Amino acid sequence: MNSNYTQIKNIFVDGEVFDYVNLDKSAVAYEKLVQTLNKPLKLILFFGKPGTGKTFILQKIYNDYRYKKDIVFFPRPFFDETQFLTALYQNMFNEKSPKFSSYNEFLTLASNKLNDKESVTVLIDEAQLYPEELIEKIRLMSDSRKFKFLFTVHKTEKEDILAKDYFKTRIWETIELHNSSPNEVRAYIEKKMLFHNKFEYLSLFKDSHYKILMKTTKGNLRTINKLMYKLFEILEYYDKNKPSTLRRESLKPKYLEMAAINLGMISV
Amino acid sequence: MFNTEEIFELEKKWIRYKIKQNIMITAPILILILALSFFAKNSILYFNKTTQKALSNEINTTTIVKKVEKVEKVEKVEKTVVVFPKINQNSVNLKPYDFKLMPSKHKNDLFSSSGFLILNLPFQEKKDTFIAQNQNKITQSTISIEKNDPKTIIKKKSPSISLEMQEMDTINYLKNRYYSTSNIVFALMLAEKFYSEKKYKSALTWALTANDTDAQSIQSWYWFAKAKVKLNQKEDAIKALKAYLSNNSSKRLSILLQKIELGDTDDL
Repeated sequence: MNSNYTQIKNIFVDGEVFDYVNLDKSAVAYEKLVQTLNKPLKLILFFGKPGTGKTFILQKIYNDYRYKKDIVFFPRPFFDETQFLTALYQNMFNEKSPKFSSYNEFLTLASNKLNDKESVTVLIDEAQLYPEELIEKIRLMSDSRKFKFLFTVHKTEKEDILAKDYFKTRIWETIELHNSSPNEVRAYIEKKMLFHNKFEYLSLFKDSHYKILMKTTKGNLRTINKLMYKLFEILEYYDKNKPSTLRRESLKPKYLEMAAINLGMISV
Repeated sequence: MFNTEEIFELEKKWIRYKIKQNIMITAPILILILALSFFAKNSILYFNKTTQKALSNEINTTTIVKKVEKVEKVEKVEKTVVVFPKINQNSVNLKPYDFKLMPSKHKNDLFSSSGFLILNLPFQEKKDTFIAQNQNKITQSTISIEKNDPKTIIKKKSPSISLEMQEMDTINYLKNRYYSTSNIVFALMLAEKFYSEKKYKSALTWALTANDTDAQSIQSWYWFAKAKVKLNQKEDAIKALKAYLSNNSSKRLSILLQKIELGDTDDL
């Protein structure tokens, strides 16, 4: 028998459910990215700490513009040049890619096929995982003016070096995404629950719960998803085994803290 | 979903976390309370020391000022002493050295049926008790001063100097009390004090001052005679005692007179 909490738990499975939550900071970042993509720029760097919602914004841009302009989205990284070129060709022209013996061969063919068409926008997530050689090739592709690349990278020391070393003179625009504020965390959870018609469970969360959430996750949306998933997993157990301990109108902070302990967010 | 064992383990961890959290909250408060109490204690001690130092300085200053005053007063009194016998030759008041002039003022008392000593004995006893009490008080206050600030005295002053300071303070105290109250008790105590310090001239001065306040005071005659003996003016002492005893009766003064006449003045 599935508990109500089982259904809510699945709302917070990261990456499995695409339900873009429009938060203040992501709305600003979204608008800025769209404006930047419409400019005649070759390379754009979009960065932020892991879990700030970069991938969600890229997904939203892709979903909103996929039928309006030539746009390609690579949510997962490529480690091989040939695989990358093949995937790019197929996404650009919606046809099976020939086997390219070299990068120049791909560039010549793609340029001819595009002819006078507008440049193709390529959204690359997890760019920090790409091999250096491939990054260099992508940079050269952007010089042809037939491609516009948006690199999304984690804001860590290593990625900053990456950006400096490879894109220092090439990156024309950089956009940073910050962690969510306490109000945005509240809005994120509320919108998630409302989106999945679980608004009756919103009464479980009070200010004290949002404080714990903010304190343990630092406003990181990915971490919030993990914590919420774990919380409802714990509630699922109590609902099945000790239902008298649970109340619909209020949630004991204890369960939230137990979830954080289980995830190692609180050290004991 | 969690099983019972996992939840049990998680609850145990949560209890540990709460205990740790409570300690983290209460420990700084306890430390703060301890620190405050320690600070308060030190402040009180520091305040006491500062006050005592200030008082000590004040006493020293007062001592010096009073010393100057004392010298001036002694000079004045000594001057008076020189002049005093001349005045007393025609004076009605009984003066110890003015043995020729008997206290005509008290003649009725002296020759009353009850007699001068009988009439004055209870008063005399009271006075003696009062003197004794005051002496005790002074001794106690001196002891308390020593107890309160032993470090200051031991550290800053050699023991002999500290004793001298105490003596000076006692004399000052008695003088101040006498000047403010004109009570013969203090004059007598000063006479006795100076006599014990072998300052016979000062003892004589204060015996005269006491006698000036109350001519019937046996003690003023007593200290006058003793000081005279020590100043090698034995004849003056004998004349004075005889003059007093001719109209009054005092066992104490009679014994003293007998001793002086016999030359048994070693234990005076």
